[in-house]
This record gives sequence, structure tokens and C-alpha cells, in this order.
Amino acid sequence: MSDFDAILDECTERIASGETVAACIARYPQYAADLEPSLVAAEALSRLSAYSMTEPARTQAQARMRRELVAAGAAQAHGAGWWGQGWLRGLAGMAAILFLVMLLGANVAASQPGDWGYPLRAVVERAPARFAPDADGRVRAELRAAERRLADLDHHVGRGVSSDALASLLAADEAAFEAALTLPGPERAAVAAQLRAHAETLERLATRAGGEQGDGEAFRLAAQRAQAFAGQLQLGPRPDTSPGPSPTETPRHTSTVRPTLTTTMRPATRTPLASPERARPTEMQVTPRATVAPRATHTPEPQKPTLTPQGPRATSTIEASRRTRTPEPAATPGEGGPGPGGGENGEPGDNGGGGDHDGDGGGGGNSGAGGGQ
Amino acid sequence: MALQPALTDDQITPLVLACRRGEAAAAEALYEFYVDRIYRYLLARTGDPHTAEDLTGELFVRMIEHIGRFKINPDRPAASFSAWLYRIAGNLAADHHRRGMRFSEEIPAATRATDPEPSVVAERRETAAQLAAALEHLTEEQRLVVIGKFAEGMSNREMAGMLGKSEGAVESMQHRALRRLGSLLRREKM
Repeated sequence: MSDFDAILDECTERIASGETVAACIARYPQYAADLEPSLVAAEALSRLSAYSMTEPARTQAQARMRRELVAAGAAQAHGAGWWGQGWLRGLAGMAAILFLVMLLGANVAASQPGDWGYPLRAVVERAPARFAPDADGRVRAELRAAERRLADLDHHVGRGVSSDALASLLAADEAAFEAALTLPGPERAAVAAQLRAHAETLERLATRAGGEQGDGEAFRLAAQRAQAFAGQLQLGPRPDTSPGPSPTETPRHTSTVRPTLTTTMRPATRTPLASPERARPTEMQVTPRATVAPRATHTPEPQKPTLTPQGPRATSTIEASRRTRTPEPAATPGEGGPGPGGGENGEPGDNGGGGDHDGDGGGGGNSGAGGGQ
Repeated sequence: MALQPALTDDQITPLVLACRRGEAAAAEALYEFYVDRIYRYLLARTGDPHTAEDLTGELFVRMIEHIGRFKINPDRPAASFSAWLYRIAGNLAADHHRRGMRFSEEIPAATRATDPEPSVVAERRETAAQLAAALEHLTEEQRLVVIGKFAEGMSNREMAGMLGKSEGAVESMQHRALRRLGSLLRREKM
């Protein structure tokens, strides 16, 4: 403590005891200039101790407080009290959020073609396919989703075609088709039958929709595409079901088919949708199997991207499926490894990769609540 | 020179809890204990008796409104409750200054036990206004220290307990606050 502070302390004690500022300053004339204003402030503050509320003001303030007490009691009796508890407010907030989520979920689940939540519903209903443990599960999940979209389309036919429902249906059918390529022949045939049933339903919807705003045409094109998927799957269970080709077939067919595929059919695949399939003809070239030749002759199925009844894409897809089923060395690079085409696009080669303001602020009581704690 | 006996820690906790439950007797007891202390604090802050009275009435309304949120510090229950009330008072005074409320023209004679000469009253009124303006330049803790010390006669120990600081820190704050007030008042007079 400095000398000045010590003198200030002494003087303030004297003032508190009743001594005047002038008398204190007279004791320390060398500090008079600095002491006086501080002592005047101390004296002015000390004078406040003689003040108290006037009786009317005191009575009025007390009456206000009592009214507030009564009002607070009434509010508590009406349930405002429990709301004041923080944990209950938190619980109520969580319940409100949960309710909103459930409401949103219910809206999405009940949405119909044309509703804002329908695209989300379509995505959600296809989600199980992503978590399916194997191709069979994936196929079944995709077909279930596709059938729901078909049911929605059937329900809404005549009220305008829903592009969301149609696109989701075809996407599910295509995913089912691609997953089914890895399945054994009988199961693949069953999937093909289901896809064909989808195509037939779409055809019926096309007939029912008739000429209404071109809806019939949209259904018809979708039916063709579903039919194409079915057709391609149907091709599968032929010689491919055998463990391997006969040695005598290999030289005879590979020599004739390969040129045909690479020179005449590739152009047909150069549409944007077909781009992921372009690698497949290359895969076929590294697959010295006789099964290629017969399949090449069976290529007049509609193609996924163009709906044209032929093209290398169909052939190459089938080739891919055959490759996974035949235990030949030529096929192994594609099975989960970095071999040509293998692992790309999740296709058969993919091995399942799968307040307070120093006193400021209006909320006095609120921000002050923590004061001193 | 303590003007009123301090509420003890043992007394304050049951009073606060009863007041929360809406017991009028507890609210009255708290009111009786604090009303003049808070009034003097607000008088120092505003320099105006009428304003201080109004704000004091408002403070007790807010006390009832918000006492449910006040959490008693078990280590120093009485000090924490006092600090909470003074914090509300500080906010009310700050709101008053922000709104630019003006001082009234007179200090009610009834507020003084002994009435000085009118000229003295006028001088003191002017000093009170200057003091209130100067207090606004201090920190809230400095204000509490000088008002508590000189207007309430609280000891450094009591102030230290209320502010949660050491006595040395309170003493140091008091020196700085007084020097600052002196310098502001001197400037005012020039």
C-alpha cells in the first residue's frame, strides 16, 4: 500500500467517524489536491447512510411485491411452476422435436406421387437394398421397392404419370437386374419373370392411361425397358450354367465373334447411359471361352440405354455374369480385384465392396441470477 | 458502522426457500432486511430519491419473479443472495441511465433525519448528481465496494465475502475506486 493509500484509508475512517473533509486535509496539506476530491466522494457516499425510503414509498413497494407474490403463486398453481424447471423444459423440447420427426416421417411414409415427400419416400424404401448382405437380398429389396412404385402408379393412373415414381421404378428394376446377374440360373430366371411381370403391368397401365397427355407412351417406354432387363436375364441360364465351356468351342467362336463385337456393335453403346459398359467388350476379349460365341448370336435384346433391340451392352452384361460364374482363370481378375472391369460400378467383378453487462441489460433478474456464485 | 445486522447464512437459506414456495412472511422478511440497503445503493447510482424508490419497488418485484432461478451458493449463502440482489439493482440502474432518465429537482425532506439548510441541501443535491455520474465510470465491483463501505458501513471482510474476493483485493479496489471518483469529481468542478 502506498503512502497516499494509507493516508486515504486513515482519512476515510475519520470521515466515517464524523470528521470533516477540511479537517482531514489540514492534516496532510501536501496531499490536499489529491485527497480532497476522493474524500468529498467518500463523504457524499457516507451521507447516504442517513437516507431511507419514505414511508409511502416503502408501503407502495411492499404492496407491489405482495401482488407479485400472489400472481406468482397463481401461476404456479396453474402449472407455470413446473415449466420453470429446466429439466422439464428440456424434456418438453425433446418431446417436441421427436414429435416433429415422427410427424415428418409419417408425412413422408404416407406421401403419394406428386407430394413433396414422395421422392424421399422412394429413396427411403430403396434403402434396404443398400444394406442387404448379398445379391439375393439386394434383388429382393429392389423388387419390393419397384412393386411399391408400380402400386403407386397403378393407383394414380389417369391423374397424370408421376415421373418420380416411374424413374424410381426403373432404377429399382435396373438395380435388381444388375444384382441378379450374379445369381445362379434358376434364381435369375425368377427375377426375369418378375421383371417381365413389371413390364406387363406397365403395358396395362399404358393402355389404361391411353392418350392422356402422352402418359401412355411414357408407360410403354418404361415397359420396354423392364422387358429388356428381363430379356437379358433370361439369356443367362444357357451354356453358362455349366462349370466351363468345352475346349472345342473356344477356338471356333472367339475368332468369329470378337471382330463383330468390336467393330459393328460398339457404336451402339456410345450413348451416355452406356458409358460404364464400354469396358465390357474388352473384358470379353480377355475371356477365351466358347460361351461368348453363342451369346453373340443371341444379342437382339433391347438395350438399357437406348431400348434398341440389340447392341453389345446386352452381350457384355451377360458376359460379365458368365465370367463370375465360370471358375476360369480369365474370370478371376474381375472378382473383387483390380482386374479389367472388375470391381467397377458394383458389378459382378465387385467383391462386395461394398446478461450480464456490468449492470446493463434489461433482463436484470435473469442475468443477475448467477451473481456472486 | 453496520447499519443493520447482517443476515446469517443459517437464516438466509430457509428464507429464500420459503420465498420460492410463495410464503409471504419470508418475502416480507427479505424485503425488510434489504429494502433500505438497496434503496441507498440505487440512490447512489441515480442521485435521485424518487427514482431510487421506484427502482427499489421494481427490484422486489423482480426478486419474486426470478427467485426460482436463484441458486444458493452453499459455501456462502447470504453473500451470494446479497450479490444476486445487488446485481439486479445494478441492472435496473444501468437501464435507468440508458433510458436517459433525468433527476428530479428535489431531495424529499422526509428522507433525512435531520434537515440541513436549504443551501446545503442544494449543494448536496449537486454533489449527489455528480457522484452518481462519476459512479457510472467505475466497474460494478468498484461501485459495490465504495457504496457498501461508505453508505452501508460494511467491513472489508463483509465486502470480500459478498464479492467472493480476498480482503486485500477489496481494499485495493476501494483505493482505486476512490482515486478514480476523486479525479472525476475534480474534473467536474473545473
